[in-house]
Amino acid sequence: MELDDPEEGGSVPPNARLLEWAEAIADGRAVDWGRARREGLEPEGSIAALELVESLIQAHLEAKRRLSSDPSPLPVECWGDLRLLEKIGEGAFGEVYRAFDPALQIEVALKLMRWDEGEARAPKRFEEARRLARVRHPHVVRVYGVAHREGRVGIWMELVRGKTLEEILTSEGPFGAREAASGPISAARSRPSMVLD
Amino acid sequence: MPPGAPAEGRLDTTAELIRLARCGDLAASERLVRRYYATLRQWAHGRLPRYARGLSDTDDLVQSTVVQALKHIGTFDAKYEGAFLAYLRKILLNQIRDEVRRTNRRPRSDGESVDDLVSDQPSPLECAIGSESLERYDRALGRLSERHQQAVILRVELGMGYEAIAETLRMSSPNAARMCVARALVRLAESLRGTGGTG
Repeated sequence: MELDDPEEGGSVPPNARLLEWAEAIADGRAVDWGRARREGLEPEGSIAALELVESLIQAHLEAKRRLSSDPSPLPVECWGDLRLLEKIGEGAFGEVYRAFDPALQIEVALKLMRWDEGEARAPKRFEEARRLARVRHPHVVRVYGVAHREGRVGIWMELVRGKTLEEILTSEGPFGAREAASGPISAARSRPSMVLD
Repeated sequence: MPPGAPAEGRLDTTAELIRLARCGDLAASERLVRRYYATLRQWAHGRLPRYARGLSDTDDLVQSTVVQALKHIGTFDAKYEGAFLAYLRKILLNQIRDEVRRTNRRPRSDGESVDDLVSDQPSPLECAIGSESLERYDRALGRLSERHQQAVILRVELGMGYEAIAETLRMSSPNAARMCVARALVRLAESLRGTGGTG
């Protein structure tokens, strides 16, 4: 437990009447300022200053009342400059988000590695991103960037809208052998190290 | 539940969430954001001029504040929740000042003078007490000790009850919080006298 009011330890104690009025306005109780002035015991200007403090409290209450009818939307999370809009996937590696890149002004897919992966695995993740970035193929997403921020490595890439593989398998059944092989083989020809490593 | 008070109990204190966020724990960052989002919106709403008070403007400012706060969280050492709230408030008010300055510099396509626009469309707080008084309050508040600033912010700006203030500032009892607030208000009045215009 800290000291309740350590600043007051070495200061001149406040005038008792001023403190009494300050307690009243802090509690929201009315103060008879006319009577306080007639008594005229306080330093010049003190009562006017306390009246201003009271007005400030009332002003904040009024602003708060106006806001109370305005519901708060869900907060937006951020990772660096990227704004996370929606979690679209999750796995042992971490999560994938639909995110907004304010520099590129586009929505991207952000793959955020688990934060407990630690510093040691960061170089491996950067290498993964660099390899993927070297692949140019219609069946492979484009990589826009990779960074290590706030303790996590993230790779942001082209956001592909459509069904997931799981959804396609559920709705259309298993692929034939040719169909299953055509995409990956074609992509691997454009950059063999991607699958050979 | 008063504004700024945690909704999930005290197990995950603000200090603990900040510690985790500093280690890169995104879930902790998310909880911090969720915990203070409504409070930041309340502050922003009260301070933004009418022309910039649309939902997206307010949210943009709040989001920008959160990004800034999390970006520099590695250097921030919050001993208790009140200090973190004061830290967020300071960043938010700077963002608002920058936004108003940017708007003042921006040429208007509709021919309306930005000076007129700004002066004709005050924030709710300016409406209630006037921009001059609000500026004096900000200057006077800035001269108080950190503890008294936090007491004023929690009671006056956030309308927190004394029990919540005692928890937030780690005080021994609600009555101790009440006395601290009262002393802080006297110091605020003294500081306001120093800014002129009350005597």
